[in-house]
Amino acid sequence: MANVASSAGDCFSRIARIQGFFNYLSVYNHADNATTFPNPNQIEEGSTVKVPDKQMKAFNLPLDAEKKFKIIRQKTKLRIKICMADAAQTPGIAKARLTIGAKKAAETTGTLEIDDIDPTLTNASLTVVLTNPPAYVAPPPTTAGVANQYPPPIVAPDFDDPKTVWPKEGETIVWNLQVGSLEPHTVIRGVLQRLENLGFACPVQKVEDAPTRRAVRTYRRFVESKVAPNDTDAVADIQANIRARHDD
Amino acid sequence: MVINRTARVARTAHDKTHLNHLGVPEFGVVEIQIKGQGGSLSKCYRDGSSTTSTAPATTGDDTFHFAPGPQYAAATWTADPTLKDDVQIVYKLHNPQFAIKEAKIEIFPRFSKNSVWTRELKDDELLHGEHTLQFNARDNWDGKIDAHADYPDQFLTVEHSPYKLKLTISGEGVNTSPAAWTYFHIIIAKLELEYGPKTVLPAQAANMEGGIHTETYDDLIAQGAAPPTGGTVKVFLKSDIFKTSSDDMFKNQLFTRHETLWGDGPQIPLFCKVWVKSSSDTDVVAYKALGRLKFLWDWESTSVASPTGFTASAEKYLVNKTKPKGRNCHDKRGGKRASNKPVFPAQAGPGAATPAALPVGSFPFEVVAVDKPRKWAAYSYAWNDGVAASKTGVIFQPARMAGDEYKVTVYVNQEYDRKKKYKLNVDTDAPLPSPDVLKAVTGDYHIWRRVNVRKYVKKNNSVAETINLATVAGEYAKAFLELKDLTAGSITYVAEADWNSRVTASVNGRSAALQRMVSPGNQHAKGGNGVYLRTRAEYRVAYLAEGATVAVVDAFLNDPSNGMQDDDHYEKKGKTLGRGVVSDAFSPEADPGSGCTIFHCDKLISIGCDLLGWAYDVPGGAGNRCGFLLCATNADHSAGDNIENTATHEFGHHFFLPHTPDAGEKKNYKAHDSSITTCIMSYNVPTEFCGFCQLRLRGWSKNALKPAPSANSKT
Repeated sequence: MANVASSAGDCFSRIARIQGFFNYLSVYNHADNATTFPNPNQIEEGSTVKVPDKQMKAFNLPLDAEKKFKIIRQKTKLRIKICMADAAQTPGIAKARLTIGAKKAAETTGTLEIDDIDPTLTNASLTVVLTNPPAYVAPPPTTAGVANQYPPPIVAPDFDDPKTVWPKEGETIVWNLQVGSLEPHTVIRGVLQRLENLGFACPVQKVEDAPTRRAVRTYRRFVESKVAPNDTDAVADIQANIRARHDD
Repeated sequence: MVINRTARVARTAHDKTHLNHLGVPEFGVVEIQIKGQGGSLSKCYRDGSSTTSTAPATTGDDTFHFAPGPQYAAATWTADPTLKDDVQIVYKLHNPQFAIKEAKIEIFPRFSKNSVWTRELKDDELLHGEHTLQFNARDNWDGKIDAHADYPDQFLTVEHSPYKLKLTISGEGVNTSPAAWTYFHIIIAKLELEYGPKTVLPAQAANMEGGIHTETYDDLIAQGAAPPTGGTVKVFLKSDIFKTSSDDMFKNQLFTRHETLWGDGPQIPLFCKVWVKSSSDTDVVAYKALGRLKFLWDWESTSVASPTGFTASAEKYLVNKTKPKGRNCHDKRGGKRASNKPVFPAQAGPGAATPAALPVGSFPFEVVAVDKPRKWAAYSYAWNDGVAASKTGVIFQPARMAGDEYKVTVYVNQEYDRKKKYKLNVDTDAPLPSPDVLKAVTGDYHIWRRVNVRKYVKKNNSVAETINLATVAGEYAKAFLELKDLTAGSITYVAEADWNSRVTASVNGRSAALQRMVSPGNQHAKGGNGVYLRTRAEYRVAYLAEGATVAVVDAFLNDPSNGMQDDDHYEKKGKTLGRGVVSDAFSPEADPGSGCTIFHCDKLISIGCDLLGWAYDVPGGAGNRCGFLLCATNADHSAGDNIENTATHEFGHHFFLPHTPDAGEKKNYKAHDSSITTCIMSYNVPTEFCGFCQLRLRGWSKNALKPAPSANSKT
């Protein structure tokens, strides 16, 4: 048995493939692994994975005869769900294309899935073109004035502040997907990675600081409807919630 | 725009179903409002196409206002740190992924692309949800902004109100509501007029009266501590100016002397206290909140047409052509209607720094003339600190012409258009279109001349009749000249010894022939007549008693060169003598103060005389004292005439009015209404002063008037 130190992009599917296994369960089902890694696809970088020795398998085969051996290679999928801040909401999508290696998926429903990826690939890309925003509509009029009114009526055109630059086209978002790099929600980085994936402006790091706390507070405020002082900001406070939100 | 993001995603093993949710960053401004005291709230606006999961508040009002900066306590007009009208800037962000990169709150005044205050929002200020903008770790904002040339006190001001408070955001993602804004005002609560202290009046040039402006001021204060808000108050111009010789009546001396005395008119320090409306709708003294706000001072000519034909005609001169319109004395007649002489003269003001106390002898507020078209008005500015903070003012200087009537209005001149043209600077008739709260209006200031009647002297208590001064004053009141009776009803009787000694001294200084005319004995005790004289027959007897022969005496009496050839000539001689002696006897009794003294005896001389009165010039007077002699009884007057008419007539002479041409010394002198013959200055049974006289008494220039009434009008 060998111990393999996981690196960025590793998951049991990838490690297994690199180690010559076609079914990640051959590795994952090692007792130590299963208990250490609740989710075989989310491994904290630098973790030690037990890789079992390959077993010799002996078959009695007649000579001079043709036999077929069937190796069962289990597929590995890449599943993406595009959402708004409210994960239940899907943005208006004009185009969306997921690419990993030579495989592609295109969808406008928000869910993109490639069900047989090369598990050793660690990079993919997702390009989403959002539908055009609604046309610009001017603000409502200010309150009408009457003669000799005081204070004087507000006349909106009297104000020369910059006008709103209203977008005419939908945004294009290009995600650089680091496949296999999502770490378990039980570690700080895992939570922060999920926040980032969910659209948060949030550093991905191993320690908590003001920016991570601000992101957590934002999450608590919006997702959990917490208000001060209950909008606590420790990563641990949202671990369970964000796992479900991101992974399920 | 392309947004590049990184996501760390998990593969999904063949026996698993988990996903990777990738969120599209979204954000937007939900709302921004200002909360004032007492629950007041500004109204929030966004673009109509803006959307956020939470809708903006629909409460609030476009009339939201507050009073920035420190305040004075109204009672003491000094700073009170406990008084403030802090407000809160509250905003709500839809920032569920903390994706807003930049956010700023700015304040824009009207007609400006540039904000006067900007606050970048950072860190926790960008969190999703509701916020109250912090100022030095406090929720409250007092309207203070950063240093700005238009806001030297670093507070928002009425001057540039209203304002737009705008929150703008940007970031990477879908910006569903890039901005929200609200409007607010800094507004005036009220204006209150008051009189400034007289010590701020500019030092006066020395003149014969001295201190006349302060006396006028004191008279005004006596009529009310504050300027009237309705009705009429009188502005009395002390005008103890009298002829010093008969020739003065045949010049334009009344006009020129009055002009010398009063110049461009009385000076009245009008102050205006300016109150700002707080967010809870109370009136406060927010003295940093005015800025260089302009106050427009306007005047109207409110005098009404006189009942007399001549005066009414003259008052109509270009009545509807001048700006402002009205019947006040026109520039061509010496007044200020249509004149370049300002009713609100320019003042330098305090300069860069307001002094700790009001200056003495110089006006505290800056005043400048309004440019075209409302050139007759003036702008003033308020102090932003010190004893006169939140106050402004002008020196109100109406023309010196009695009968003129002025209404003064101060407006807050805040409204201007995109070209910074102030909307009140128009040449339309007052009142200007302005909300009541932005103006303060006085009642009518009615200009009057005032002449003091200091003393009423009778020779002795044998003088039975007494002039009814109120009747006399009533005639002059028609010309807006107050004869102010300072006698308090008191009559002075010349002491017997004084009278006799003065008569003796006066007589002894004359020729023997004249001395002989005076009856011997106690002149004072003889009765109420001025001088008791011998008759011509008694004169002859006395002359003979001196030892002269009959031939000598008769030759003397019959010699025309001696003026005694008959009783008529003898009486005339006595009249001349009587004038000299009586004036010598009375003159020392003249009051030393400026004004008039009335001298009264029954008749000038005891031997019969047609002289009713005499406006003689008091010796030693400098044109500010006069005395006239009444030397007739009512019985001496024609039917319908009386001693009051004579008193009025003689006063008139002292006030530079000559006789009418038919009675006068200079028949071609044009100083009377040619359409009437009963002017008091005539020898006819009088009715009242003719219009020409009335206008002259009011101070109008004789040289600009013509005897024919219609010749003085112009349309």
